[in-house]
Amino acid sequence: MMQLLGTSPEVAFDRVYPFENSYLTYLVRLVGQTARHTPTLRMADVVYGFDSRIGPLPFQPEIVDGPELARRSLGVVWSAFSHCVRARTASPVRWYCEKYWGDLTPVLEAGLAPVVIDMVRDPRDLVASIRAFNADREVKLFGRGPAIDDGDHLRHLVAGMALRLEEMAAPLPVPRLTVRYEDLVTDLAGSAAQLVELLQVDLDPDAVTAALPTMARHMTSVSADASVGRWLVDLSTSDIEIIERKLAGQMTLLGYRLSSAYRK
Amino acid sequence: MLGEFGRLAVDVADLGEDDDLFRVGMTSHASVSVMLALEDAFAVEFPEYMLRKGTFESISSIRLALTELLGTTADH
Repeated sequence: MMQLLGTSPEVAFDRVYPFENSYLTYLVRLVGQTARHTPTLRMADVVYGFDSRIGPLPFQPEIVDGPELARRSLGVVWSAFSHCVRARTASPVRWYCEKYWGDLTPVLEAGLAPVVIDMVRDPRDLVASIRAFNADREVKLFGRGPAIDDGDHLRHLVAGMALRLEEMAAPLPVPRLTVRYEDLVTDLAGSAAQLVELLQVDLDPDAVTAALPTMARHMTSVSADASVGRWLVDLSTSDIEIIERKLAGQMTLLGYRLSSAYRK
Repeated sequence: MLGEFGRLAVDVADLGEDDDLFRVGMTSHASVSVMLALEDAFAVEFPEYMLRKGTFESISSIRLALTELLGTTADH
């Protein structure tokens, strides 16, 4: 998705694979600090940086409504950030794009009016890919680190997916498009056409295909096509049962057939 | 449990029963941690229809869900 959007000079973001320089996420977090408590209490800590936990409004934070200050701040900070970025580029930028991490509420309340593109993937393939990624690289990412074992990790993943999918199903007052990973990798041109209609920019799916070798180091299956339906081989019956028991309704709504359908 | 897993910006003791926990710093990720801690502590399982933000948005909504799961009155 990011590779595809990045084929337009009108879409701004750092072209640094895997495209996780999320400035808006950072700024939301930054201004959100004012809504938190446990502030710095001593002026010396503020001035001389003795306390590196810069964040909550110092001294007497109760003089303002912290969440309200955060909401108002985000719009101003984002406007300033956009201005400064534009000043250093010659590209005809119309959009900024990022993998957004977190709750959209602060963004909407700040009046930023984003266009939301929800990327979804079969939760069973997602679990299989996460496990393969961790195994291939001998790491414990995507929440595996603090989990006791694969079963505990699966509980976290599935519950997190349920909440995220619920958020995606909720109505938003801004344009929104849901793109299934499976459709993106099997019909890139079709997905590109949807995005062109939504954003009114020119995109080049052929350039994405040419860049596939660059993305290979991030892949855990032999091809993008092979990554679809990998759960049928990679997951145990027990894993599949847990995922489908917790996500059956949302999976069905997104067009993912439950395993019982495969047994018929 | 909220204090330990909720990653709230305020002291749990300062919260009212109906205060919006997401407004005081709880993230979806933290709400998952709260939910799983509750499952372990009370030996229950939150079913699919309870896996939604609304279930964890306040102390009273969590209490309601636990009450239903336990079939009795839950204390936090």
